[in-house]
Amino acid sequence: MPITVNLDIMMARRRIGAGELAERVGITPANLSILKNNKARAVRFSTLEALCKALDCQPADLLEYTPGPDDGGPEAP
Amino acid sequence: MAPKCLDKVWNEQRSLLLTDVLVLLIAAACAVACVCGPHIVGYVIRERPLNVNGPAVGAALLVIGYVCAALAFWMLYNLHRFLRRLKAEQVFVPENVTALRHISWSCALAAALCLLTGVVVYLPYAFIGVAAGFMALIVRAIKNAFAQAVRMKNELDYTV
Repeated sequence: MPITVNLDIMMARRRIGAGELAERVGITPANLSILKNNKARAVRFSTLEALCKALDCQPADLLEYTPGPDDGGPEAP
Repeated sequence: MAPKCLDKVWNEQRSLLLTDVLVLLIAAACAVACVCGPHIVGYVIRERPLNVNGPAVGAALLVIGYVCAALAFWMLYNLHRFLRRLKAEQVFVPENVTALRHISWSCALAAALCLLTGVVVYLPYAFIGVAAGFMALIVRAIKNAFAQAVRMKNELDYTV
């Protein structure tokens, strides 16, 4: 996925733990972990809004686009 | 709509169990047909008007029959595994897409063999071939639907 989520960087800057952030944003720690580890396939605007509010930042501080190959391989016949 | 009293005796798990039992029964029938293969071929050669005759026809029919049986066993094995996963509530998983793909290819290969045998040796085999071909096509369409569902489920599972 060419979009990376720089959540851990913002969390370190704001000195906030994963559990506390998950609670403030209103998502489960498991889903926050999916976001942090760049496993997410999509992010809802409401989640992004809550993250920006909790971390006092802009969406561009959290998301970064790096051109690269897509990870979807061809399907067998 | 089914009557309410039927809900008490019949449910999804029992329906799956019935399908699984039928798969095992058909596998047993295939095994019996394999054991009786030479007799079945002998009967067909004696009683049916074949397009070609000769000593090699019996052997060819027997080999084709055993190849079709192998494909049927492979298909039934995949169907059994597929049903087991449904029972474990693993529906839209890549393993099911692979199983449906194998089932579809088994039907397609059996269809090709039966069509060839029907055209060359005995026409009624061609009808079995056409039926198997349709089955391959239907299972393939279901496989495509499952592949799409797996993609959508992955997307949904990883949407935060």
